[in-house]
Amino acid sequence: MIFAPTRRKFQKIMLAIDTCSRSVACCLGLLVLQGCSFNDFGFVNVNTRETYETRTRHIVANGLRIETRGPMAGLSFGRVEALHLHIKSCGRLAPRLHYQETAGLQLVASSLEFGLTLGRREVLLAATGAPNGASAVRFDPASPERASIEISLSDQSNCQLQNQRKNAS
Amino acid sequence: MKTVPAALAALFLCNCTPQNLYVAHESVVGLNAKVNQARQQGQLLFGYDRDFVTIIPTNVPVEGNEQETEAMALVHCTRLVADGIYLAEYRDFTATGKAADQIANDPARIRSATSCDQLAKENE
Repeated sequence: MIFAPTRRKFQKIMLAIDTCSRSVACCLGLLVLQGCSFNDFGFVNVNTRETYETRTRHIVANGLRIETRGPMAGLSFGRVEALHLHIKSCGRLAPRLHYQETAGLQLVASSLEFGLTLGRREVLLAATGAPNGASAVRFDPASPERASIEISLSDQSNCQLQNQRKNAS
Repeated sequence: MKTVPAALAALFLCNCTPQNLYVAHESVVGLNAKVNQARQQGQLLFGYDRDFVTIIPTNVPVEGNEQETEAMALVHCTRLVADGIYLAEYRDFTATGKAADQIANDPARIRSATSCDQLAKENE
């Protein structure tokens, strides 16, 4: 009789934990039901735009996603939107802008980082692109698909130098 | 210290040593725990955090003479706008190497060729 109140409290706590875990399981289940994707395969929307000088990839995925490439490689539950802008320089793709927004659960396991995010994470990485050249980027996170790169100046003669370096190495 | 992983991620994108300019922005709302494998350091965050970092190269090989190094010729302008806790707009203009030299030698070209001039006007 002495322990009755304690027991009732314990039952209440267990009931709350049970309700909470069921809710989380339902949410995860709904997210998984929306779709699964692996890199560019599955329920993922990948739009690629290519010009003579640039390449733009816009990726939107919902549900369970596994990404094996790049610095944000890993597994995620929820919504992932990414944008990759590259400049074509001397026959190769030079990274210019990388943007990724993840809402939900994200597990990153790349050679660079190992981490867990529960919530919203937004990462933007910009590089110069070509070693010699000039470019301008316009990017609005509300509509990443409308991002643009303008190549203002280019120095194609530098390709000869780069090729020489490549051949020498 | 928290900006270092983002900056290293930028370097990872290019798979190279820091011989280019890198700009990195990261914002987190919620729970974030991560370990940077390259530097063996980590962070645990609950709530909101935003980082912004720029790495400017100061030591790049001289063209035509790999034995010598110099500071990279660079013209760069970044505009990053945040609306509340979220990123709202990003713009930049970057010129490196010979392209930067060409712009630097012609101030009129800076005003006409870069978006920095437009940004300056907008801020007036």
